[in-house]
Amino acid sequence: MLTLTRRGFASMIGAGVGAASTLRFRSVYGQSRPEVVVAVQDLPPILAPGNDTSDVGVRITYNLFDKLIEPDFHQNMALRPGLAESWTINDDYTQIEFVLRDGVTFHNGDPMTAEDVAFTFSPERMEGEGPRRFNQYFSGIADSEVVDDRTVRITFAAPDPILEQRFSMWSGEIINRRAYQDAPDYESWGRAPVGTGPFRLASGVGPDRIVLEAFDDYFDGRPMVERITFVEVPEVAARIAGLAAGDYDIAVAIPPDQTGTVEGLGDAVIVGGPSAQIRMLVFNQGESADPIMRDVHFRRALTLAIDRQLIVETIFNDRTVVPAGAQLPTFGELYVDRETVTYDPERAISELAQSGYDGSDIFYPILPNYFVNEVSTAEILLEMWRAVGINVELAIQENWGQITRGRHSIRNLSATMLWQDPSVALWRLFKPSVIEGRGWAWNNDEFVQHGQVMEVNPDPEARRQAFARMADIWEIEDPVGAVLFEEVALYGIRDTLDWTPYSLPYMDFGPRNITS
Amino acid sequence: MNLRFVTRKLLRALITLVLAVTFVFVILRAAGDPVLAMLPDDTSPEIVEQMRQAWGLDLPIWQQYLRYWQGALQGDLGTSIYEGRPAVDLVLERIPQTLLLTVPSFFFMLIVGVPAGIWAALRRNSGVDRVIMSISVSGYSLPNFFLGILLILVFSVQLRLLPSAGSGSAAHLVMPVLTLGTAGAGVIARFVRSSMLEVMNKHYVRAAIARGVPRHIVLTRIALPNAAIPVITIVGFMIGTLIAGSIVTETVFAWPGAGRLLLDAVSSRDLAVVQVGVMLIATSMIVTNFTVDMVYFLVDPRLRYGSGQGEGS
Repeated sequence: MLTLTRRGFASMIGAGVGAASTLRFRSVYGQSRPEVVVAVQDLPPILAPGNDTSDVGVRITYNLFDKLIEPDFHQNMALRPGLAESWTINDDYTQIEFVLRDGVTFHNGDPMTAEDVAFTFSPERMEGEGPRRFNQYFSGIADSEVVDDRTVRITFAAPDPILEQRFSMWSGEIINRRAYQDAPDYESWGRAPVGTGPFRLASGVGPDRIVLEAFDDYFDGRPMVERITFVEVPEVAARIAGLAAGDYDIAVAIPPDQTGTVEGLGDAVIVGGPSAQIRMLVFNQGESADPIMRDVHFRRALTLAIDRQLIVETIFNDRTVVPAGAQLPTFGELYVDRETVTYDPERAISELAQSGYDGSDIFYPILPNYFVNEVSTAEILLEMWRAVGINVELAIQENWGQITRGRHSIRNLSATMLWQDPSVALWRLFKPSVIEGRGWAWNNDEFVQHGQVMEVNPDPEARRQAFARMADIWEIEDPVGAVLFEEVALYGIRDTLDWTPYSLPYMDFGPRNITS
Repeated sequence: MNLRFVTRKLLRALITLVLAVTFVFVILRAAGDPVLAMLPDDTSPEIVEQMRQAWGLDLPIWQQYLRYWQGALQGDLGTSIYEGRPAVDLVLERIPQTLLLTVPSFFFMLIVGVPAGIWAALRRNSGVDRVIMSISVSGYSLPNFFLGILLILVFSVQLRLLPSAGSGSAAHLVMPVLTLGTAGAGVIARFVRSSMLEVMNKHYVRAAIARGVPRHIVLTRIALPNAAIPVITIVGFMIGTLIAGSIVTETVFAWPGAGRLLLDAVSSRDLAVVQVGVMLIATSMIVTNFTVDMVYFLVDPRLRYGSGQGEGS
C-alpha cells in the first residue's frame, strides 16, 4: 500500500527544489545590519523567564535576558561571568556573594542595580510567582539581600554543591524589578518582559510571530543583527519549503531524515547535532507496571537487548551519539570515563531465562513524536526485544497524563543537562522523593547512600566516585532505566549566515555568537 | 414559517449547544490532565498538585462541571490555563483571521463548483464533462495538507510567486483559499451536475422544451431552482468541512486562525479555550442549518404552501 506521510512529502520538496536551487536567495549579510527570520514549530504564549523552560520558550528568552553567571557554549559550557563580575561561595556552600557588573542597562532604560538582582531571587518574587519552574530551581533560597550598591548575597537553607551552576541555568535570568512590580499581573509581565539582553521585544507576543529588535545599549557590545522574527510554522515540510523559497533564514527542528532535503537546496546547510539532553527509558516497577518488571533479571534483559549504536546509525543518520551513561563530556573534571551497558543479546537471553518471564506483553506507551523520532525508535526497540524473546505492546497515547497516570511498564524520558554536574540526571530524576512521587517503586539503598554525596558534598573527586557507582547500579546491576542516545537538535540555515547553535535549545543572536 | 417552527428550532439549538459543551467537558477531562499536559515531564509532584489546586482541578468532575456552568451563566467562560487570559478573548481575536480564510473559500467553492457542475451537465458525456469531473474528483480526493504543500512547492519554491506561509497580504491568502476551497468546489460540481441531469429529465422540463421555451429560460427559471434544493443541503455540509479543513490548512500555512488555536488547546487540554471554540463551532453549525432551512423555504414553494403540491414527476 502506498502511504504518504508529511515527512515523505518534505523529501519530495527536496527533489523538486533541486532544479530551483540555482535561483538567487537574498543574502542575509548583504546589508549593514541584517534581519533574521526564524521558522519555529511553536511559539510560547508569554516570555516570562522562570515560567516556562520549554525549548520553544528559552530559545527566545535567551536573547532578552542575562544571568549572573553564563555557561560559555563556545568553551564547552565552562562558566563565565555574566551580569556578575565575580562571585564567592562560602565554605559550606550555603551562601554566594555576587559582585555586579557596572554599566548594565535594562531595556526600559533603568540601570541594573543590586536591588533588581536581590529582588529576582527574593522570597517575595517566589511567593508572587506561585508554582512555576523558577520555584523548582531556586526553592532552596532562604534569603536574598543587598550588601552594597554592587554586591548581593544569597543564602540557601541547606548546603548546595551546585550553587554556581544553578545561577547559570534556566530561571536564573535577572529581571527588572520596576517593570515586574508595575505589571498588573504575571501574564502581562510575560507579554512585555524587561531584561538586559542583546535584544528587546519589538512588538507584543503575537499569535503567529514574535519580533525582537537590537538593544544597542547592551553591555556586551552592539548586536550585529537588527531584528529577529520568530515565525510559527508548525509543519516541518512548510518550514523546509519556506527555507527553500527564501522566506526564512533558519528553520528549526529538522528531523534527521530530512537533512538531505535541506542540504539539497543548494544554499542551505544543516547545523547542530547532539544536544545536552539524553533520551532514556524508565523501567517502572510500581503498581501501574506489569509484575515481571520487579524482577531484576528481566530488567537487565531489557537493557542488554538494545543495540543503541544501530539506532543512532539508522534512525538518526549518525547525527548523534551514545553517551557513557547519564553524563556528558562537558562535565569536565566531573566526567567519569566508564564502561556502559553494551549490546549483548546472548546475555539478555540468559538473564531472561532466570527471570521467570512467561511471554506476556509488556506495556510501553509513547507519544506520537513528542521527542524526535519517538515512534520509529520505539518500533526498533520493540523488534530488538522481540529478538531476545520479550514481547512488548506499544501504545501511542495522546498526552503525558495518560502515560504517567495510566498503566506503563516502560516509558520514555528525556533528561536535560540543566547543569554540568553528575547529579543532574540520575540523582535529580531518580532520588527517592521523585521515585515515590512518580510511583516507580524502585529502591536501592546503595544508590541512595551515594546520592547523599550529590546532595551535600562539593568535592569533585567524591562526586565523580559517587556518580560512577550510582551509574553502574542504575543501568547495569539493578537497572531502573536505560540510556539510549543524546537528543539531536538540527537547524536548516542559509549558508551565508554565520550562526552557531548551542547544545541547549537557546538560539543566541547576540554579539558573542554573531561577531561580524 | 411560523413562530412555533422558529421556537422549536431555537430550543433544539440550545439543547445541542449544552450537549456539545457537556460532551467536550467529560471527554477532555477523562482523556488527560491539563496540568500534566502543560508542565514539563520532570516537574515535581508537589508543583503539579499546587497547580491542580490553583485551577480547581482537584475537585470531583461534577463539581468542576457545575462551576463551569455557574461561571458561564454569569458570562465568565473561563480563563486559559496556558495563557492566563479569558478564553473568549483568545478565541475572538483569532476569529477574524479564520473568517478571512473561510469566507473567500466558501465563495470560491460556489463560484467554481456551481458553473462547473452546470457546464458538465449540459455537455454530458463529452470531453468537457470528463475533464471537469476528473478535476472535481481529484479536488476532493486530495488531502488538504497534500494539496497545500503541493501549491507551496509550485508557487513558492519553484515559481517564487507567492509567500510560502503566514498572513498579512492578499498574496498570503491565495494558496490557503485554494487549498481549503478546492475539495468543496469538487463536491459541489458533482452534486450540481447530477442534480441538473436529474431535473433535466423531468417531465416539466421536457414539456417546457417541447413548448419551445427558450433554452436559457428553461435553464435559469425551471431547471436550476429545482436542481438547487439538494445542492443547498450539500453546501450546508460543506461549511462544516470548511471549519474542519481550516484547522489543517491553518497549520500547513502557519495561518494564525482559530482552528489552530483550537487544535493546540485540545492537545494541551486547555479546557476553557476548547469549550469556547466548540460553542462557536456548534453555534455556527446551528446557524448554518437554520439558514439552510430558511433557504429551502425561499427556493421550494412546496414548503411554503404545504406539502403535496407542485409534485412534478
